[in-house]
Amino acid sequence: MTDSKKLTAAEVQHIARLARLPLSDDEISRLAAQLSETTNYINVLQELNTTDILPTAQVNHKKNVFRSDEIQPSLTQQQALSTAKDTFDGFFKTEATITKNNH
Amino acid sequence: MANLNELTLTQALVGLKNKDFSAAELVADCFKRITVVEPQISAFVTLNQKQALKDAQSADLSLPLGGIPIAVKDNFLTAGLCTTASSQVLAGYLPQYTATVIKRLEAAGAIIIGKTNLDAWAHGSSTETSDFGPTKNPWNIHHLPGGSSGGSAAAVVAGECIVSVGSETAGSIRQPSAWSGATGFKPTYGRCSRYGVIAMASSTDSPGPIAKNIEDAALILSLMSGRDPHDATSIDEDSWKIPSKITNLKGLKLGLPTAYFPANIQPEVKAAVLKAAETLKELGAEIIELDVLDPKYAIAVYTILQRSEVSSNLARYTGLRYGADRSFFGKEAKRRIMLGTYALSSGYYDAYYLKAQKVRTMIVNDFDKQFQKVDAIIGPTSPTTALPVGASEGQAMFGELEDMLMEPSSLAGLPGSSVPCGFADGLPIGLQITAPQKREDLVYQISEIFQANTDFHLQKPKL
Repeated sequence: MTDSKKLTAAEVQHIARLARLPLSDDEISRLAAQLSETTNYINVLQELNTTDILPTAQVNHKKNVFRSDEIQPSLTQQQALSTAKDTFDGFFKTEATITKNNH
Repeated sequence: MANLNELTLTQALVGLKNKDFSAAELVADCFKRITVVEPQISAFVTLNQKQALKDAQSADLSLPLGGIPIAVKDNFLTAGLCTTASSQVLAGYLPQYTATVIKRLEAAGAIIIGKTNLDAWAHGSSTETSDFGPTKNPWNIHHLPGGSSGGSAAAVVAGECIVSVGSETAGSIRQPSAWSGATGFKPTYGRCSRYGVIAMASSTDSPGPIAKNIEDAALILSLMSGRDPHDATSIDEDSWKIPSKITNLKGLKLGLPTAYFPANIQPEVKAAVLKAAETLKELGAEIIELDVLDPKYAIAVYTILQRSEVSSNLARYTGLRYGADRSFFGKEAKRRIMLGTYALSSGYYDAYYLKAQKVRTMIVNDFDKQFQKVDAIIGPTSPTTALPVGASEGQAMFGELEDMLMEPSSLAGLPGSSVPCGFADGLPIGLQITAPQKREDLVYQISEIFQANTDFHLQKPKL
């Protein structure tokens, strides 16, 4: 799975779709080469035996952090919407993710 | 007095207090310098001249930073002042609020004179992946300033501000400080709040100061630091207090990892760092060679974790709530988002992300082991001096290889500094000083005594 390999254009297109990045054909072929180069480099980790080692996600030893449930000052609706591309009735207007026919 | 912009923070504060000059004169001199050198250096993305001169008129000199002009990396949100992270996606963006650490510096009296250039989204170690063009090294404008806080480092060294704020994920404060000849102070992860800092890799992002010497950097750090309820990962402590200076290093053990001198290290860098170790030895320290985990593993761990966190953090840029759409991402951002998405995707998570997190544990454990033998670790900040403009172009691993000596300590969340320790062909060399978590006091004391006994940090480029 992580042996030296070259990503195909189809694989790169699939990743681009997951990342919602519009890419040109040129970018796809360049990225296929660069991603392959990078994955081959990071395979150096396979040299290390990590059996019985726990993963580290966070280095300052924090456990769950709670705060009191109190109302704090926040942005006004007008401030929050001030940089929006499009608004409707005090909301951000977004593209539809569910259409009328497949609800 | 002429050229007030050349003053250190400590000197500027004394001068203001003694009424040798006014805050307005100090700020005006910075802008005078900016007008002269910016065409060559391009340290700034946005200047805040009108507001800064106005703020200077009403500066409260009783505050700890009253009337002090600072430059802020353009990935810190500043309400009403354009913030771009040097990306076209955020061109013209006016934030609705200000980052906690900047709010604290403003409350302490600091005046923001402008926002400094960085590698777009802080992805890089050159400042030439900025969508708005590269920043140049004040020591030689044909060379890079390092990055990603290259604009902040160059602005300080070129005398365009008194002190600046940068941020580091793995090298982004210390490496540009080394390449540009500044003093950078990267605190323990969580010492400074990340609230309002445009997120890059959330598990290592650390705001910190870049200054003309460690004294100045320490004062800024003390005012930026401290718990912030808006950042759940911030350390549960009040602001960091500057410790007293020390007069010698007797009883202190300093580790010199042999692996921090790789085969391809620039010979002058090696010589300057070994000379610095000799200086510290003469001051009483015991120098102990260390056998540490090869930094090549940290490069791989960092590459996987950083790209993964980037792909997640940059997912919020949809162009709907603010900024432009995703087609505006530059080459480097696209490359990093793609690798991160791949590393986190179904079927590859265990082999990449989980494996990297496990090796991260090994890196943390290795430092714990080393710190049983020594109090702090020293070494070169970067294996080379500043590379020529264009060096990062098309190199997928450029930043990682340039930051290889910073990545292990960053992944472990350790505090560290880079202080100037020599020159090669007119370009500065940096010495890194790294201590266990929350031991900024040691980083400060060792850096301070080194600077008290050397004059590399006092050299200024001819611009």
